[in-house]
Amino acid sequence: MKTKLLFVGFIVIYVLIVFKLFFLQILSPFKVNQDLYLQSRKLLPERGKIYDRNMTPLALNQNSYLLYLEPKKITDELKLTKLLSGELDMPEASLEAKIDMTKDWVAITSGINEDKKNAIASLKLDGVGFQEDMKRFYPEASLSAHLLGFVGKDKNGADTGYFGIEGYYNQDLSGLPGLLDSERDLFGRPIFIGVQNKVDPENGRDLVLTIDKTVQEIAKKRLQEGIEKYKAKQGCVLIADPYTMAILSLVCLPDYDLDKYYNFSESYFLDPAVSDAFEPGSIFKPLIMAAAINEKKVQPQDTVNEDGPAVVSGYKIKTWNDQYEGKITMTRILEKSSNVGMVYVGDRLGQDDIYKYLEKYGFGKETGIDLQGEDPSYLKPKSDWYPIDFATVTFGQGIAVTQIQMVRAFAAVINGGYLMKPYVVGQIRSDKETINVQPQVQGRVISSLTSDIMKKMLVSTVDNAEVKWDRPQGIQIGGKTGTAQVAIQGHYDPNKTNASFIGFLPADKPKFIALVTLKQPQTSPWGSETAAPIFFNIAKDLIVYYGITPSQ
Amino acid sequence: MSKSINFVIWVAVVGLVTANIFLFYSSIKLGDEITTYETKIDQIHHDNLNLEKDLSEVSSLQYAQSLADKLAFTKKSQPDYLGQLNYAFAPNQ
Repeated sequence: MKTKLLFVGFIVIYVLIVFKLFFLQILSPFKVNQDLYLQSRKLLPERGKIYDRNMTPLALNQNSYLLYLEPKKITDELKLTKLLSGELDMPEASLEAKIDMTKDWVAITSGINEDKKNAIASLKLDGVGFQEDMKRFYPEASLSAHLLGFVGKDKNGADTGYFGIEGYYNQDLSGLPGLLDSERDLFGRPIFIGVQNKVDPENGRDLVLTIDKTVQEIAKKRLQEGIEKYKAKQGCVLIADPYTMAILSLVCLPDYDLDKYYNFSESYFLDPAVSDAFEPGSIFKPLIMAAAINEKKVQPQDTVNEDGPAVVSGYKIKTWNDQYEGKITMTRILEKSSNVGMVYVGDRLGQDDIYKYLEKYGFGKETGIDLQGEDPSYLKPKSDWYPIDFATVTFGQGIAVTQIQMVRAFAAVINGGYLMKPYVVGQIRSDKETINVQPQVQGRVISSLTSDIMKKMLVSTVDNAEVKWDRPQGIQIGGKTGTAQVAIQGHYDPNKTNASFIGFLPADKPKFIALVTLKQPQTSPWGSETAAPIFFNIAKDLIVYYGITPSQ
Repeated sequence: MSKSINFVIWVAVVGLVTANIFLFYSSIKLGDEITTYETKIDQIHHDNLNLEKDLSEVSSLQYAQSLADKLAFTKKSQPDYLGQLNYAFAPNQ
């Protein structure tokens, strides 16, 4: 009898449970909190890494932590602020201001590394917690600060790339977040018969640059030495493959610390090589000379009588040293950097063709380089040009270009006449595919014959320049110096110049083209005495690095 | 007859309860395993990032330079050759 009673009781309880479950799951399923066990979590993707052309990393990710407080769990606020402010190098007052006792959760600071996290955790403070995060790590420190850009936060607190590659390729580098919907029991264990949906995050794409870390290091070291020696305000070195316009090195100084970018003003973030326009000065002469030769208006051996200043619209145009050699050839015009001779070349070429070639060289338009913040510079409409403008532009004054535009145009002069699109990312890699970026021809400026003639003239320009440089022996080097006076309040200040040198080697089939610019060097205003020695120092190092053998 | 029915019912109930307990235990065990693997995956990813960082640090030019400084592989350590020995032999001239 007792057994039957127990059995009936058991059955009754069982039936009640079945009814309750039937009620909960069938009759009123929506009245029950469906999210009671369901936990949704955003799975953050890993930001794409950045490598140089030899797959050595330039930007990686490292573990970091966001430190947060749960104010309602804090037992000793005084002790907490005192100890935490010491560990975080944050004033106690700032920390106190962040602690809002009405809130459940307050973010204090992000980017805390492993060691710091362990040190804070060992203090065993109530109400302190850490959330896993990631931040950028730069193995070569600030070797390529302008080029890389940095990762900061957007208005929603999410990681976002700013400037340089981080800015331009932000979408590719960011990836797509995933989502995890998982029903968990009270102990946080997954309920395997419950909902378990996972959409994996898509990590950001890795970028393989055309930059060579060693070339970058050489350029930065030599530029740093040059800036200190010649006491310049600023300097840049831009090295590229002239046939493809793949950038091998791009460095400007002063730059900024990528890890502590927030300590620098915005002016440091802009890359002067792509964002600042400058008057190029005499390095512009070969472009006009190439145009005149291409149009068959002059030949290298043609002569002009340089017997005094040229007069255009009442303005006197002198040579840089106010000395005149009399009858000189077109090649000699480049060798001695004669402004008077270039006015003659410009006159032969004609105003229409001068403007046409400025457009063909791509001035006044963005080059399309894959870096954020490129300035297209400004080429004023032809109708706004005065005769004096057409005269001064032949020797690179009265026109503003960016350094990347200048290198691209000069590369066209020596690579057979092709205007190439400059680029810094050579490969984009993801789990699914690898995209190889191919060199892109943007136009044809001059013929290959003109290009060959210009290379010879530019080799002669280096060989017979007014200044004798300590340069590598046995290797033909072509190039041109530049010294441009700086315009201040509508007038040129003769004591303030931008010095530059653009060169290439070996001349028969250039391995690289390099532009060195210095802003307002103090020891000498001339490009031949400041920028050129930096170029030749870089060239010597690169000859060894690339194993270029003497041909003479 | 009723005894045999009772026996069958008891066996069925005991069987169901046992199966229920087994199922419950299995689900908890599986849940634990999932949690363990999740933690391990996170830890391995964490370790990978640290290793990648360490590896890139020791292969960097910065590290090579610091090592060169430490081992005195610098211009300062280049030997000074006595090119003009006559000076060394005539200190009082």
